[in-house]
Amino acid sequence: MIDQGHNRANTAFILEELRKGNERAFDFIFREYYKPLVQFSYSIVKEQTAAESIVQDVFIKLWERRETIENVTNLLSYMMVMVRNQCVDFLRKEKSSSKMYAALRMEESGNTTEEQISLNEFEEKLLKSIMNLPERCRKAMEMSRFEGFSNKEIAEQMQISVKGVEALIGRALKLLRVELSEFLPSFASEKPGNKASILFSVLLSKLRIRKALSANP
Amino acid sequence: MSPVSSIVCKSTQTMNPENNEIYELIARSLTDRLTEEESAVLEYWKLAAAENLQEYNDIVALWIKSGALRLPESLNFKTAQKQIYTRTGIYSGRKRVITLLIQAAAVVVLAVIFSGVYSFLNRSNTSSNSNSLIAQEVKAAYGTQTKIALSDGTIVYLNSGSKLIFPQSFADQKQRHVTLDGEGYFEVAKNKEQPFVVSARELQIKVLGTKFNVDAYGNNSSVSVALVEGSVELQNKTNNETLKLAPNQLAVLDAESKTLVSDDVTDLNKYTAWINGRIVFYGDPIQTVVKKLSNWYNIDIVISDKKLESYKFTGTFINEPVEQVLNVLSLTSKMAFEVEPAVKQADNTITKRRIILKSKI
Repeated sequence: MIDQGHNRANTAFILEELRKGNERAFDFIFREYYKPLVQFSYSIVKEQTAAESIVQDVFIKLWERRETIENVTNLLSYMMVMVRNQCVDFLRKEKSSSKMYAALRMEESGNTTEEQISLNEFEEKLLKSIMNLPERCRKAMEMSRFEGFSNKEIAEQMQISVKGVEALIGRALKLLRVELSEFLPSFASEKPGNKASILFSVLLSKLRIRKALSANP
Repeated sequence: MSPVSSIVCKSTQTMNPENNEIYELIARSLTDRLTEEESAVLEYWKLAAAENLQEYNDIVALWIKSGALRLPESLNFKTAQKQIYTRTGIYSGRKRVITLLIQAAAVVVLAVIFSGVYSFLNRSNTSSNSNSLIAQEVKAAYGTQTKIALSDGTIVYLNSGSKLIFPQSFADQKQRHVTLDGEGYFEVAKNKEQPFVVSARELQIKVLGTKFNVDAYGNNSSVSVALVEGSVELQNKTNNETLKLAPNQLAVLDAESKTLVSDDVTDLNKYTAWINGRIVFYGDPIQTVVKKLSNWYNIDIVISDKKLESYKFTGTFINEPVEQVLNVLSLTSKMAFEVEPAVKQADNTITKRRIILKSKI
């Protein structure tokens, strides 16, 4: 699904232009990556103003060190590392606020190294995978899940039928599930399903759907 | 047919997990409400195979977990952009400066290219070191100063009418060798392994990394080198005599006596002001004035009165026509001058302008 070759070529070109100080290249990077980076930052610090401020600082840093960027094959990944580092710094400084404290505690708790590394790894990978979706799938997915538009509203904007919107989102989910399988329930499970476990899972999933539908604004 | 069996029949059609319609249904279940019929279809599919159920659970988990990325407030791109762009100085009007610099660079590059073409067409007289290398020649037009960057990073300023011959690349050579005809100011890039050597008439100047001025105009009776920074070793080509120079010293090779002498200099600026487009005279005799002005403006100046030889002249001039320079000089001394315009001759060549200097008394 993910067209890595295409992305590598694009990244190389954009980085070369950025290195040369091409302001338009920087502008392009800003428009492409600002929102996903804020989303990523938000998933760590849990506060939007701080998240935006952090990402703005990262963009400024990117411009300032544009000439020394080397061996970067994926600019989004690179910037996400910068964002994560700044978020961790931010959390350490903001111990006083209770919301921050909770997030910080999660960071500094006695998690095993594995768990700590996997903090926000899902969010990071999800954002990257969404960026790599086919254009219309991506748009429908983002508008639905992140911007909270109804299928009808999305249909109007994209000038397709509601069924078309659902098909796009469905396709996005199918592709994303494959990309992110390591973070999802089926990855952990070992035993093949038997009748009893299927029934049990059905009950569980019914509960989940109800929860999902009520949680989904 | 009972309603239930019709539903079952319908769902068997969609039982194939490869069929994308099931994903459409799942998406609908997450973003909207399913009808009773649709719910039944979905449930049937989930129960049909373990993989189906797993897939369904995965997608629901994915959907729920992705909620962490949902921002509570909408993003304001414009304010974010403003923040970033003001602090980085992008699009703030610095752009104009960059454009100007690019324009200036283009002029210099053009000058170098033209002389490159010129030398390509006249390749016979190149320096002996060229071998397989293409020798390039850059000449500063009269009344101008030209700045060149050599391939090793050395910067050379050429004064009006002066010429520098140099190879395109210094790679694989024992020395970095250039030839100067006229006046040049050098800021030599440091390279201990490859000394920089300037040939200027009867003088050979060897440097490691430094800043110095060489005055080797053809119409001078002497060649002079003024050292600003670093150290140079001079060699008198007529007798192989060598002389080392320290900063703030001036060395003069007299063409007639063929002697090479050096002395300390108090106002080095006098020898290097030209690189900033300035002509500087500081207690200088008439001969110096004549030499400097005739080289700079490409005119003939004739001293018609011996009395002038005892006068001293002082003044700094920037971008002024020669008449203005002479006017100012004549205010502080008893000098008068007369200008003879350039004349077009029978063979369509134009003579230089001629200025005749006289004493006022």
